[in-house]
Amino acid sequence: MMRLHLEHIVVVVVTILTFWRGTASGQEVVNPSSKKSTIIVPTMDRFDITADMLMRLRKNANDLKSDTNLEFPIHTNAGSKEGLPESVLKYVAQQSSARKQRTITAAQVLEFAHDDLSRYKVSTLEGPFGGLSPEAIIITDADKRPALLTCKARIAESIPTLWYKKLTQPGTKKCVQTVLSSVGLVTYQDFDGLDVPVGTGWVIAPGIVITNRHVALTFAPAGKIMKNPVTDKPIEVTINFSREWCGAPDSEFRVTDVLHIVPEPGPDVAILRAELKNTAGQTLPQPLKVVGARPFMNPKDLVAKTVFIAGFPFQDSRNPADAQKKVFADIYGVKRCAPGTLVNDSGKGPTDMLFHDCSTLGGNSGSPVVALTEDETPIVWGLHFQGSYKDRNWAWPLWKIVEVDQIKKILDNSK
Amino acid sequence: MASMSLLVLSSAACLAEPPNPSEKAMIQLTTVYLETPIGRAHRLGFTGELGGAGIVSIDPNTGSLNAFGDVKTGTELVIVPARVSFLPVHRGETSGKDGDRLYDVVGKQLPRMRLLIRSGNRPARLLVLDDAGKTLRVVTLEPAP
Repeated sequence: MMRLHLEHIVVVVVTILTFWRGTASGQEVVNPSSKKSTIIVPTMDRFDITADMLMRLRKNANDLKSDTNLEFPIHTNAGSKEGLPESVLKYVAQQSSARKQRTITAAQVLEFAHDDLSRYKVSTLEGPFGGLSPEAIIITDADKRPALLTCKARIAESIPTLWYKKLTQPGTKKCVQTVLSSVGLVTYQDFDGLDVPVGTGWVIAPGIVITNRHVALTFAPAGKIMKNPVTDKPIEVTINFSREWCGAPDSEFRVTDVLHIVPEPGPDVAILRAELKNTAGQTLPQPLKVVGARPFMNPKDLVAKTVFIAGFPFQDSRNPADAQKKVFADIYGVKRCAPGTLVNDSGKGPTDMLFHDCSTLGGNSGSPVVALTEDETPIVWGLHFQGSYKDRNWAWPLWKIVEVDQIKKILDNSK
Repeated sequence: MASMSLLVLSSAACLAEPPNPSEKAMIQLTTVYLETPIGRAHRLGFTGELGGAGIVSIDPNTGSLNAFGDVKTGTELVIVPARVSFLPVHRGETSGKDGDRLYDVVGKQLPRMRLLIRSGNRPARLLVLDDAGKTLRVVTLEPAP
């Protein structure tokens, strides 16, 4: 079995090398399990993909998906790095530096091959993450990674078969409803008096809202809500917990202060204060419970766990229009619940980052990534903050966020 | 293809000459990722009708670039669409040098900007102006995907 897989890897690498070179000549690929193995990647002097090559790579990528940790030793040719494409060198250098290793896994080979191939509009290539093609919408299939419309904090459209059972358990329904109730769209009013929606926030403690640093910096570039130079008063910042597709009435609360913006290179997090009761007499939604420690000691156990993200995806020209239409049906700027899974490398490395494949767009910054279980009480695992086109989405784990001294103090004082 | 600066959506053809200001032509142009933003935009997209109405997409998202200069990983702030007009500029110094045309981008939420639609297959430009009309910055535009 193992031999079969190694053969597959060799075929994949040969295929990739063929792509880079345009021809297969001049390559040396030896048994990758041997310490003496050498993979010489020739210079990319032209890029010539045939349908046959693509089919071979896709087939082998599928076969490899359960063996993504097999490693290739990598040596540059005779001390020279000239034979390696820039993107490969950069990738290998990053991997070596981060992990102190001089090898590269089958998954990583496929990953950077996918990245480079996708640049040449080979959008159907399947990647190593679950055998599905990653995109910033990570997977352009609304049945596999839907972004479901909501109404009154409940999912308000038919749930695809793949997710139906998971999302319709009594405990899960309650869990999703609680999360959707506590997630709002952060908006500020610019100097012209126009509303500028920026991203997503959610209630983490009584009167306390959490979002991303880069969300807060749009209206508080110096750490406090900026003033309108004409009125010399702080601009209006709000969080709206409604803004749903079904047109439910607004549930808007004023953001009164910026309590803390974590400086770089810390987590991409900001903590805001919101009024507990708004002018309409509504009460700020209940805080969501967050995970205080890594939920699984072995990082590998995080991968493939089902999660969902709640937020406000807007039309995003960084994603292909047809992909957006497939997943979002051209309805943007309203609250959605997007289920997905944690993907490769989640919970590893010095930053302990979480990666997921839920469907997101601009406007999802600051969204909670929540464990999808049958437990009625939602547990927020991550704070979504960026997406990587045709790759994965990124979230800061809450167990890292609550370790930040100032955030810990704010949360303790709010009890 | 890379040098094609203007997409005429109605005919799906590339204009060899910029449109006469009295004619209507559709554009779909974008800047590349701007490390130094224009206002709060790290990327600006322009769609609409020259001499008529259009939309400017204000993309405030920051990101890291891949080896090809494309954004690989980016934040997910809302990309705000702003309604604008692309109004032809009728001034002596700008009245058709080499057949090129200038259009003011008029709308709220934006710094003062102009589009330069150029003849041949030369790429269009975005000009950022100060209040006095002096050009502060020039950015090459490319067809939006």
